[in-house]
Amino acid sequence: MKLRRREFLKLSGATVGAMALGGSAQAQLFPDGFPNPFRSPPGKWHSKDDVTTAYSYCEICFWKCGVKAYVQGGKVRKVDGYEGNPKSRGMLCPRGQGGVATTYDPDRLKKPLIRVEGTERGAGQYREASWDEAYDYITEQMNQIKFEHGTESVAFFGHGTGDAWFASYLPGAWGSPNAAKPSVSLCTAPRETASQYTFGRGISGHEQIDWDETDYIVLIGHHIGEDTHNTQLQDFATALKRGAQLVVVDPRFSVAASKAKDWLPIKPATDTALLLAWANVLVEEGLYDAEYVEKYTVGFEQLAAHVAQYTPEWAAEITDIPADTIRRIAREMAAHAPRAVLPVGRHVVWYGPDDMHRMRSLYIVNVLLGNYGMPGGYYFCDAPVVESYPHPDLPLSPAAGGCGGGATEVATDSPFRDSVDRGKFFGSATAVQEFIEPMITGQPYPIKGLFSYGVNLFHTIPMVERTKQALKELDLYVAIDILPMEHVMWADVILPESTYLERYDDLLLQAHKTPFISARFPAVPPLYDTRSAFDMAKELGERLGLGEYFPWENVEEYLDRRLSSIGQSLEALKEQGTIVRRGRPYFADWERLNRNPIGTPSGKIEIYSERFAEAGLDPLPLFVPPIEGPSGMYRLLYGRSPVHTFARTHNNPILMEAHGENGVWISTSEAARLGIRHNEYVFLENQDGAREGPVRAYVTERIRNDCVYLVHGFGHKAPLMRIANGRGASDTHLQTRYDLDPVSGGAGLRNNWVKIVPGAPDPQHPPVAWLAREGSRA
Amino acid sequence: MKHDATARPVASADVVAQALQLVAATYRSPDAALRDDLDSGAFATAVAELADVAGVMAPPLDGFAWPKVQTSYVALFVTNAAGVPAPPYVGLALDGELLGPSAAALKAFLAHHGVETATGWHDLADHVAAVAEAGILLADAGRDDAACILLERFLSPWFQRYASEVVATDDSGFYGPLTEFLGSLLSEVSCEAAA
Repeated sequence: MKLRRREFLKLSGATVGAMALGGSAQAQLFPDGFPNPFRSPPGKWHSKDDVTTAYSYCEICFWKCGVKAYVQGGKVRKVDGYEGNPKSRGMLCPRGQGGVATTYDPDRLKKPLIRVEGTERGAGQYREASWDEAYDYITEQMNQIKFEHGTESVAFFGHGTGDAWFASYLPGAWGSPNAAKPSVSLCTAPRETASQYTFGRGISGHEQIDWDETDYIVLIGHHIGEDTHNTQLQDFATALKRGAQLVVVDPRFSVAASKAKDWLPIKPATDTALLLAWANVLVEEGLYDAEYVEKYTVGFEQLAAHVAQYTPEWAAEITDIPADTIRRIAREMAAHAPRAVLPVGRHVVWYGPDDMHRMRSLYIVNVLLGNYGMPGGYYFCDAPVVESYPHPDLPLSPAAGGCGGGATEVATDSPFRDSVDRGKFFGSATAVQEFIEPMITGQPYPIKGLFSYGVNLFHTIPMVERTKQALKELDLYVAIDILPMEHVMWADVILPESTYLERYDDLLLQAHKTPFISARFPAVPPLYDTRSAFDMAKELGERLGLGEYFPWENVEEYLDRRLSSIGQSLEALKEQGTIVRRGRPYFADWERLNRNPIGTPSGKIEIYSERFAEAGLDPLPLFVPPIEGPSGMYRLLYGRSPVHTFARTHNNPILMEAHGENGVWISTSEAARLGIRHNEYVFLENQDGAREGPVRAYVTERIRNDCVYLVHGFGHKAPLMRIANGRGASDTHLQTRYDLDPVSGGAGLRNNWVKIVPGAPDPQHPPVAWLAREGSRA
Repeated sequence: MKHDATARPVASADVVAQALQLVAATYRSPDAALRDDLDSGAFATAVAELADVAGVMAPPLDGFAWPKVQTSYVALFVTNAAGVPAPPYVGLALDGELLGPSAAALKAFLAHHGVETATGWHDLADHVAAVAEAGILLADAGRDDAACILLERFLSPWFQRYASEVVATDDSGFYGPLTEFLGSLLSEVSCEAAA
């Protein structure tokens, strides 16, 4: 049958402007010499000339490795480490290699969305919006909140490179001190506060361990090889290959422990006791570096008197580590000093009240070994200086702080109220978990608006149900992200961000043994209707009447102007990717210039802190006995996977092929007692009845009897993330309590306990590759 | 996706053009133009005429609310807390990956025929609506053969892959019936023999 010819009605909207005729139509469908695209011959898929490269730095974790992105046919085909960048040296971890898949994830957020009026937050009812409409909606709501409650009633959370705009700059311009980053109070706060008050310097985003020179390494709860930071892992492996000795202190036989000469399976929450006992041995046996201590420190006499009580025998009772072992390791450290080091870890919010003390204890043991600022210990690193783009002073100094140290408190004569968490702890940075309660109670004043930039609220902040309740109380919730994480689908407005391969970002000014400057150049144009945080912040700022703080034309002009302050240009950096400077890693480098790298009031390393004493805090580190859990429950420990970052990468098929679900580690003897078999699915139920799973039981000799362990980031509850959804268990959802460190504001997360509930059904997860390919048919 | 073109009735150029217009109008982001077509009855008339000549049952096009059309579009094709049932990308339907070999083939094909994405288009070039629109442009330029290739080799596989998902999950009363209709239409007729 042949259909009849008919005259049809024309639809007015049929030509929507998606496509255009850009040239003359060809006479032949597939003319001679033109490869029929439907019958491409097998073989090489490109010629060398087809491939372009762009320099960038990785965003899949926050080591920020320098990368080269290779583009062919308008698509990023591969990302490699850039050999000229000190944080990658030509190599990348699996996450960096697999990061391309995030850009081409079909589940990506694609367009601005506005929650349909009258629907509940979390119901997921959205309509598309133009950027103009989305911006107008946000600015109208923000101005309404400002009118009713003041600018401070809008809070800003951020994580990732763009958080400089959404958790620092925009809040400062808008006038809200309520800006916070989980990378502070849910990660590094105790170590940064301890470092600032001991050395007058932060640790910042690069742990400055002199791996090249060290001969003896003691890791305390530091999971190198699991929390994969590219060059840190390279350096660690090289040190071991060179013959450096390794001791690992951990309730769990970690990957690092498998490389160690000694594994000390410490009782959880007792690390400070061990560190104080090591200080005791170093002092009592005269093994400390007396010359170093005399020259560079203050407060040794008070420390000596203080640690006299902390004998190895005292610590052995607390830690389950024999006194002889404690003594032996201390002596070995001293024998290798100053080329013996106890590296600082990154995620150090473990037990709350004890955390800052533990970090001070760790620093003090290093100082007794005389290694801070010396080869083989900790080196000094400062970020290269590049001038800011000229702009008027912000009404408020950015309040979130960051890995590098504390923030500025609101001045007493400021017209702005102090942040809602002020007074809850001593430190000056803000604590993201303390912002939730004011959203519910309105005390000390209401938080009615929230921006969440790249922060997975339900996999980052403990007490998830409280967070959900808080979101319901808001007048405005804006989520800026790349993927439709569960919390995103609660927002009033969703702003889709372009990925790190599609956008410029601000310069990376990296503190390092060799400080360097990196730029991020887009390898491909943004897919869909997505934009960078830089552009979003500027546009919102201008609509909020804050245009004077965003005087730049565009990101290229902004970057070029900044680079011009050091005689560079964006065009030049495009060809080079990274500019490396010389550092001043050791005391000797500073002394040659008659300068002092120690930033404390005394100008020396403050073993005894007068500032803590004046504030009524303990001037020397104390051991705080651990909080004990309910009978029959196990302390819940958590850690990292080398192929995943936080809860961000679990929809990436390449990375999920490598590690597709977590398991709960439980000791062989406890599993036998409970009748649990290896690989059997179980539920986890915590002290407050929160339940997670099904999750596989990983029955092993590699963990103590009094704790269990989960890799963080699994257990997503977002069906839209077709690969991540429902795989494994979430540690965050089992963290229904935390204990505040009263000094740093860190939230101790390891005072949660779980019981194992057998009999969970096998969820029969489809293969990741099939899910990635078949998508919604799963 | 292999089609047995000879076993199916051959559609005329006008039918192909009308089918492409309906596909473009249906799967683009719902805007004022679509609403005007719906309100004026032009959309329903076009559907009815196409159904008539193709011998396919026309879907009911009443009883749905415009706001529901908007939210259902997002839920079906853009972002959905319960999972996007039908990502509107023909390359994904063919290859199981975005911007894979089929999307590259499409890009090369369109470039060869002088068609490119317009500046204001903020989505992928293999979006169902964009591919349909490219077909309209080619048909208007007298390249019925090229328009037919887009319909047969790119759009039809998308319907084969995703039409049942749209029908099963649509709650607007608009996209489900219309997708079922268009899917049936494309499976019933062929245009390559004519081209």
